[in-house]
Amino acid sequence: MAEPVLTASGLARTYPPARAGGEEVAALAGIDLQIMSGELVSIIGPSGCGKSTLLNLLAGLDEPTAGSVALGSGSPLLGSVAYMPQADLLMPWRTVLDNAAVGPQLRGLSIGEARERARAELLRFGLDGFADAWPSQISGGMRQRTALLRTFLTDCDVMLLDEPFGALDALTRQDMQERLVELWAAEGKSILFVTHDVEEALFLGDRVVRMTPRPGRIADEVAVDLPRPRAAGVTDLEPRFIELKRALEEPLRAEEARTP
Amino acid sequence: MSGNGRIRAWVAPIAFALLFLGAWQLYVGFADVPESSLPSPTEIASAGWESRDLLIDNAWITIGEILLGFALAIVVGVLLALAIRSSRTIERAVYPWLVVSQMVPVPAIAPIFVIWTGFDLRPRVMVIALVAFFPIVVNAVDGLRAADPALLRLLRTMGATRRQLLRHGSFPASLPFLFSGLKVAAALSVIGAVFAEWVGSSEGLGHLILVLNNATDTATMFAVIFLLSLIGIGLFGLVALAERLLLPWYRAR
Repeated sequence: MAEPVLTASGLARTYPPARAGGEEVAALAGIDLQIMSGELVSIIGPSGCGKSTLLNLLAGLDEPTAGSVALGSGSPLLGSVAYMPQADLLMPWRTVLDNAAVGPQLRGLSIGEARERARAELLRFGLDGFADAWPSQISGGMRQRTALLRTFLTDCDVMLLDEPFGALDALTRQDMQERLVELWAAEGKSILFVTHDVEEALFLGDRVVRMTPRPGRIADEVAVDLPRPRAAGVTDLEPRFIELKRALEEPLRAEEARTP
Repeated sequence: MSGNGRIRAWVAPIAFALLFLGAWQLYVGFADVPESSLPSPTEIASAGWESRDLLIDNAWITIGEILLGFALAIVVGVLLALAIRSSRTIERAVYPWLVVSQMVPVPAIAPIFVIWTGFDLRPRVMVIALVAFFPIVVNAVDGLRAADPALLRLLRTMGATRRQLLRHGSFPASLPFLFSGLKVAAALSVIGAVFAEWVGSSEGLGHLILVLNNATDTATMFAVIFLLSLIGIGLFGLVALAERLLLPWYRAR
């Protein structure tokens, strides 16, 4: 039976007032969330619903005002949860290969050993022949593939992805989604995938968690009972996909309408 | 840039220099200016050639001073920048005094260095380092602040320690800034060398200028000035070359 790898209970994050005498800003309140081993969970919600705040807490970059986050393994969060933001954040002074190898290097491997690990994965990530290219010389899609490889090579069982494909064009994005699912299926990682695109959430997720803003809360969640493997241009035409999409989009649209 | 374009980029400044020298030569010839106030380019060249041994011996001394002073400025400048960036308290305590250090008139402080260390190479190296370290520190401090905070956060999620954040994040991000500082410092260190030799030296190109001035040997003085400029250009070129070799990624952008 699958075990929880990441558990957030009663999570809240309040920011102090922006100016003296102002009001506190509640970014998140009462978040209970559990990721099971080998699960791919999508989180969806309008902008400002606290998705990024949540990921910062789960990654260990920020401390909750209330509640707690714990890994199933009991390890501290920093260093055990992989994080991939929308910006690729490749280091311009490192080649593609050395950018991908930074995780193993930080864990204490020599640069030679770290490069070997990265080199072995280049083909699978569609970066074959680009090991020695500078980030400035490659396309946005290729940069994001490098970032995905870097995230994968952190060797963390839990991966948090914060709209990683949001800035890519539609075709590149589809390619990245397929690569991610392949990687996930082959490696048994547990993934939390934040997006504001309902189709992306459904295409990828075992379940979709919907958040609402002010303060950020979990409104509901939908189990995605679509068989895998799912295929772009096929799965999204199935009646069940369309049904789920409608069910998720309706409250989102209502939410957007309420946004001042 | 294509090879053709690169050649074209050199043609204009060289043509301008030749035009300038030609006008100078003609002006001195036709206006009958005395050589002691403004020698012609050919007179400068022949005076320099006649004293070539003297010029070259003294040039080596000045070059040695500059390289030592510049190296000292780099070491002190980078270490100071790292200290300033490592702690808010050090930054508050030290940074204002860096600015003050630049208010100290160098010709005035140089004799004091001579009193401290004697009439040898050391006070000159210290004066050069004093004028050259400032742009290095200031640019290195700015550079160490330049790393993308989002990148540093990402490295932290990978378990990076403070040392690793510096080594793999802040330090490499600071290098383009550091090299900007080094280029300014290269130019300043030549000025520093001349000052230092005026005050406390019996050798070097700066000292030679004083001697030639007393002898009203203006043509050779101009030759010395030409050599000093050449040294400055050479040092600048060396820094630019190091930048190209050490930061290939910066040019690839």
